Amino acid sequence: MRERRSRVIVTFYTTAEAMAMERLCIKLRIDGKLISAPRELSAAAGSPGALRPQRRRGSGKHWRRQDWNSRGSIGWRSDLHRIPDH
Amino acid sequence: MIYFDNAATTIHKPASVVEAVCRAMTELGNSGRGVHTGALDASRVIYGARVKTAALFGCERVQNVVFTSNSTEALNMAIFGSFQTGDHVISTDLEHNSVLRPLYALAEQGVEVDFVPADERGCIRYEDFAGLLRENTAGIVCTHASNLTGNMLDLQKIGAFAREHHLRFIVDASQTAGVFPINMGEMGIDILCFTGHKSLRGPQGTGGLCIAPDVSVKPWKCGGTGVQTYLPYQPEELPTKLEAGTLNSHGIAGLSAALTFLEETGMEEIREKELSLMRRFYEGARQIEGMKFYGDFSSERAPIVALNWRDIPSGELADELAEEYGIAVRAGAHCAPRMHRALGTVEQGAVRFSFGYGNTPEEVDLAIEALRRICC
Repeated sequence: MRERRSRVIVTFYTTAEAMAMERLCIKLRIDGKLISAPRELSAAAGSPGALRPQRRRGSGKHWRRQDWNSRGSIGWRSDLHRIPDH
Repeated sequence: MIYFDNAATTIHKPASVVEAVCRAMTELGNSGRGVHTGALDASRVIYGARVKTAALFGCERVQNVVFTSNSTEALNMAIFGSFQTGDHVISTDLEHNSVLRPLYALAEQGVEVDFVPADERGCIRYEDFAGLLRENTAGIVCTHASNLTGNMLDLQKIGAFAREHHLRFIVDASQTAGVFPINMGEMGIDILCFTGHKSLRGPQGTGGLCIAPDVSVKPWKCGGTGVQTYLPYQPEELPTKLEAGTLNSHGIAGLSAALTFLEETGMEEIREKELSLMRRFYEGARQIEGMKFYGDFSSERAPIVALNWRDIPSGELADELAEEYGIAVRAGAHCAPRMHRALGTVEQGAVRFSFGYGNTPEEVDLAIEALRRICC
């Protein structure tokens, strides 16, 4: 089994939003991957889903509080320790 | 075959489009259904196509680009999703049945519909929009260019009128997307409907609608979306709201390649070539005695020439061109009944030559020569 770590997960309402986030994260060199939203966060069907936020200075301009939700089924998962701090 | 039926579909597709479809058919899974490589790659390809489409049409939000199977489906979604009983809608005589039939169906449900009339050259008077305006007028639905005559409508002018009177403005860009500049914001377009397989040179089975911010469209179909499964209704968020069922990722991959081809080639280069071919053909064919042309050739127009020779049925002339000279054109009624009535060609129909980027001046000259031989 893979080692369990604390991670930041952001979920999305649509696949298009998840794709937009993936593009943005690649552009900003933010590590992470698209995953099925964990059951604890969403009861919806497994598609890509979850994200990563405020460890990075200035990151607040890239996503808003309302981007976080517990209904979406797509997420971006990012390891907290790998979020660049610069 | 010399192909002059580009207004129906283009067959000279860029090689990159064919390659993209082939590759997609061997690599892509179902977009939004899972997080394995195949599903994610399909979503990535589709999202890339959304980005390019939004840029092409000046659609402010990428997620407001909704993919459909063609412009007919897009127009049905836009029209049925926008108007309800008691509304009044203005359209024009230039429209294709993909606009007319949804409007006629709505009329049976209590939506009132009026049409700005076209004259014998297929032209409208823009002041007629104001004459048709009522208290309950909710929107305007019109084409950018007639698929029969090639006559174009001034979207800027109609869009300004729609804005002034707070009307929803729905545009059918089936004949102009990728050839003529369209900017939704500047033209005041609320919903732009397009097809991928005509002037965009993508695969059949692709198309879509671009929706302006704050414009709500009721879902025309409901079903699986891969997300928010336990909602008993269609999700509210675009594009998912209007994209029930598996998307045509194979076709959209081809459309995406076609959009790249357009960007690399340049819309102006494409437009100039197509219009030059159209002019060359018109100037040559008009020298033939007894040839009748339809439409306005004095202003900006799409690369289409509709004609008849004397009273010969259009089907006979088209058949002769195909059988004897291998020239493919479209005869008959072109799904444009109101336009044919305006032109007085219901009985005879018309022979439509429509030009594409893949055509050559030599092909045009052969078509003129073929007409000379048939008609002299």
